[in-house]
Parts: sequence; C-alpha cells; structure tokens
Amino acid sequence: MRSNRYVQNFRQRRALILSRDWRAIETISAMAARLGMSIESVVPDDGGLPPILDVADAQCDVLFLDGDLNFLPETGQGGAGGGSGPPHIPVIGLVGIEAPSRLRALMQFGATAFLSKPVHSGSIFSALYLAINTFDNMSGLRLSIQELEHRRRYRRHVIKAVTLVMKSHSLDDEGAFALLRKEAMRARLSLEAYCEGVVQRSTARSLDEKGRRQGT
Amino acid sequence: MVREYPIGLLFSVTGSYGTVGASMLHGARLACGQINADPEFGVRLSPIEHNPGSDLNAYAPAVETMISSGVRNVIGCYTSSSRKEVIPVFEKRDALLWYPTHYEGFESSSNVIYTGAAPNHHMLPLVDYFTRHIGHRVFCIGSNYIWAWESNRILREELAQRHGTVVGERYLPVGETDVDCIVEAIFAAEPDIIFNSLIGESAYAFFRAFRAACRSRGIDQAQRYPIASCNLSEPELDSIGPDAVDGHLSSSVYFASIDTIANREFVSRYNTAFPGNHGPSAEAEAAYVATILLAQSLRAAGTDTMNDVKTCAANQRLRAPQGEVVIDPETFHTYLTPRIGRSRADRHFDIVYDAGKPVAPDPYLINSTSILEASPLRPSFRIVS
Repeated sequence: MRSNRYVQNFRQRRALILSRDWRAIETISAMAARLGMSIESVVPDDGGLPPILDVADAQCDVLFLDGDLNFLPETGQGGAGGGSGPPHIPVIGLVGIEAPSRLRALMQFGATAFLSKPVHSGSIFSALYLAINTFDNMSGLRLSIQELEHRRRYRRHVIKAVTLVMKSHSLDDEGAFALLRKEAMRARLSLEAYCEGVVQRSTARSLDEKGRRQGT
Repeated sequence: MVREYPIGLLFSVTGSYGTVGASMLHGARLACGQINADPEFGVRLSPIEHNPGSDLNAYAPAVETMISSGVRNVIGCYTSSSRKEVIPVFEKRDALLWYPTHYEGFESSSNVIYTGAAPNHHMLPLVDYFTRHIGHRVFCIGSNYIWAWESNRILREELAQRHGTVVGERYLPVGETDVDCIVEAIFAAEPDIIFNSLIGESAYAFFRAFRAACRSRGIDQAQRYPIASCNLSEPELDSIGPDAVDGHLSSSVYFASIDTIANREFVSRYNTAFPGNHGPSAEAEAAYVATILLAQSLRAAGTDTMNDVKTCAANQRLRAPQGEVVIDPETFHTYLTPRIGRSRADRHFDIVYDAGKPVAPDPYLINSTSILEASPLRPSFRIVS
C-alpha cells in the first residue's frame, strides 16, 4: 500500500537526462549530484527513445525530458525503445518552446513537473519534489481506482450473498449484510471476495442437489 | 603586484537584529584590515558598506547600488529572507554573494558561497545532544519566517526518528516583544526543553520574560525548562541582560571560548580593534572567515569576475579561529566543526560538545534525513466492530 508520506530526499535515485541542450544537462547534472543522485545523460538520436528507458524503474529513476526533442508522442513516434509507450517513471519536462503542443506532448509522456529552459539550478529541487510526489500520488490513485473497479465488478456477488443469507438465516437485509461483513473480517477477506465464495459454494450445493435429484 | 578590489559589506547594524549585524561587520572589517596590512598577500580589499537597517525592502536596492559602483563580490545578509531578497539581483547582475550565516539549508544558488553552518552542522548535533541528556518533549518557538519554519520542520523530523514529540509550536512576528502568551503556553504544555528560533529583540525579550516567570513560580528555568537555540551567540547574551543570561544551550561552529592558540589570537585582535564590544560571536567569525576566503579566491583568480572567483573558491581552505575550514566544491558550502555551548553568567559559553573535526556540509540533508517525511503521530489503523 502506498504511504501518504511525501518523498523529500532523492539520494540513491537516478536522474536520466534526455536532452541535447548541454547547458541544461550541465546544470541538472551538477544539482542532481548535490542531491545525492546518480546521473545518466543520454543524447538521443532521431530514431526514437533510448533503450535505457525500457528498463527504467519507477522507484529509482526520474526522467528529465527535453520538450524540444522531435520524437515525443505528438510526432507519432512515442514509445520507449520498442514502441511500448512512455516509461512509467516520474518525468520532468524541460520546456524551451512554450507552445501548447509541446506542453501537451510532455504531459502525454507523463510529465508531472516542468522546468523552463535555460534551467535554473534553484528550481530543480522543487521540480523533483513535485514530479516524484505527484507521480506517486497518481500511481496511488490509479491503484485505488483499479481496486474500486474490481470491487464494483463483484457487487452482484454481494447482492446475491445478502439474498442467500436472508433466506437461509431468516434475516432482514441489514442483518444479513452485518453477518457477511463480520464473517469476511474473521476470514480476513474483503467483503466482495467473501461474498463471491458464499455464492460459489451455494451454487455448487444447488448443482449437487440438482444432480442428486436427477440421479434418483 | 598588489591588486585592489572593491567588495561590498551588507550588514544591518541597526534595527531588530542590529546586534548580530554589527558583530558580523566587525568580523569582516577585521579581516579586511588583516589582508590590507599584509603587502605580501597580493590583494587589497576596499570595502563598501551598506546598512539596510533590518528592513527587508532595503536589501535589494543596496545590492543594486553596490554592483552599479563596480562591486562584484558582496559579503552579507543575516536573515534568510534578506538572502532570498537579494539572490535575484546577484543572478541578474552576475555577482557573487558570500553568505556567512548559519541557515536552514535547502538552497544552492550558483551565485552564493555559503560559509556559515548548514543544518547538519547545528540542528542535528543539538537534537542529538538534548535527546540524550535532557528529554524528548520539545516546545518550539520562533520568529515567523523561513528560518524558524524550516528549523522546526527539521527538528520534528529528527525528533520523530528518536521517538520524541513536539508538544507545542508558537511563532511571533520579527521584532515582536510581547511574549506572555508563549510563556503561558509553555507552562501549560510542560515540555522537557524549549527549542528557540526567535531572532533579535523577540528572542531577548523571551529569555528575560521566561526567566522572570519561572522565578516568580519558584522554578529554576535553566534546569527545569532549558532553552536550546541554533542562533544564540555572545553579543546576544549581552542584549539579553544579566538576569537571564546563563544556562542556555547554543549549537554553533564557533564560540569565543574555544581554547586554541589561533582563537585566542583572533579574540585578542578583535577586542583590540573593537574595544567596548563583548568579544567576537560565531557570526563575526563567519564573516571574518568569509572575507579571508574571498581574498584568497580573488588572489587565486587574479580578477573579481564571478565565474573566475567561484572556480577558485572551490577547495579554498583556511586555518580559521574555529579550526580548519574548506569550501566544498560540490555544494559551495563549507566544512565546519559543530559544537554545543552552555551560556555562563559572564556571557561566554562552556563548550559541552565538540565534534573534534570539520564536518562536510549537507545543505539538503541527503545523508541524514529519511527518504520519506516524518509520519504523522495519529495511528493509521482504525478498530471496527
């Protein structure tokens, strides 16, 4: 589970710098070193994103991506190495030409912070803080949404299980729900997972009984 | 050939924190005098002084004026707000600020050389000391600006790692001297120790009022409610006054009572140059050190242009009154020796802790704080039935 504590110290992270702007590379490298980060500066060719992004790690790497490069998603050549889409790591967009299309392309690539060029060393810590913590927040939200979607899909099992318990235990819906919730906690399962089991066991029993009746 | 360079000395010698500013100016003047008296050194400094009078709005115009008159290196600023105020001017005009004050860290301007203590030099040893020897329940007070906010944040982080708690936190506007509400809040919270980031007159008023309030309740303040600061030096003990001067902890890289030949000689020269003052403070020594390091860098560069001076400033070292100091080429902060002192009635400090050797600056606390911020104290689970 994601902690709601913010990352404030970037030591042991790696700054991947994808730019042809030597001034930006120099400034970011110097500041990243002061922050205890290692640095990997990659001068890209025009063929696409370098393979290093294929193996980038969200917990360790942060990408400084120059918006003035010509292979961002907007140009239709997006995709790390093999064209599998932008890497899932924190991205800081380096903004030279401040046109909406460039900003959009950087955002589509996952940028959660911008640094205007020429890069000012005093802004880098703030940009890292924003990019990494926003990335973590968004990843946390994405996980929450997945979890909620999963639970939503199981809603019908909850309804079925409540109905079953109402019948089998002669309870009203409140009582049936409370019983299921208590049993789910006792089994250390989510309510949805527990209800799915209840429904499956009930269905299996019905099938057995049906089979026995047909057999006689 | 002796080259002469104009340098700016930007210290508020009047106003809320004028006591410290005057002490810093003395340190810088002493260094200028020393450099200029030595024909072998090869550099003469011609100082141009400005007194912003503790008025934040007066700093940037003062720097503009200095730079317009040909100054490219300025030693100055005490408060972080004043430093933040002038940095854009230095960046715009390609000039260099030599900042000789302890500060809260988290900055690395390419136009500043930081010769004062970074937070790992003062905050961390102090927290270590009082959690070992005094207690873990801390009441934080401070002047309402970045120095106190950030110092208290770092303190909270460090305390969390040592299972301590902040039992109260109060701020006063810079210069405010009505401290009664803080004193009452401290008695109500019953902390083990008070961490003070008040500056100037507010701090002096608090030391006096708190000692008096404790006395009227029959409490030995220095024993029951010790006060620890990272910004308390000898001239300020003078300003507190004789009734409340003793028993306060101060974390610093320099105390006038350091017993070495180099320091005794420095104190003697300082007292001769500025009779009637109560000896040098940590800030005076820092300004002295900054001025000598600047002179050495100017001599090495052969020019006073920013990039050349900065290049030559990297790795400059000096046998300072506090011991060896070196400018770190990576962060342009300085290796300094942390110490903790306890104030005496004669307005000096007994040194109760000495790191023994210069410690590398860590302005972003990358080697000392945890990756994640301190966790909140409330539990992250709920009991449901």
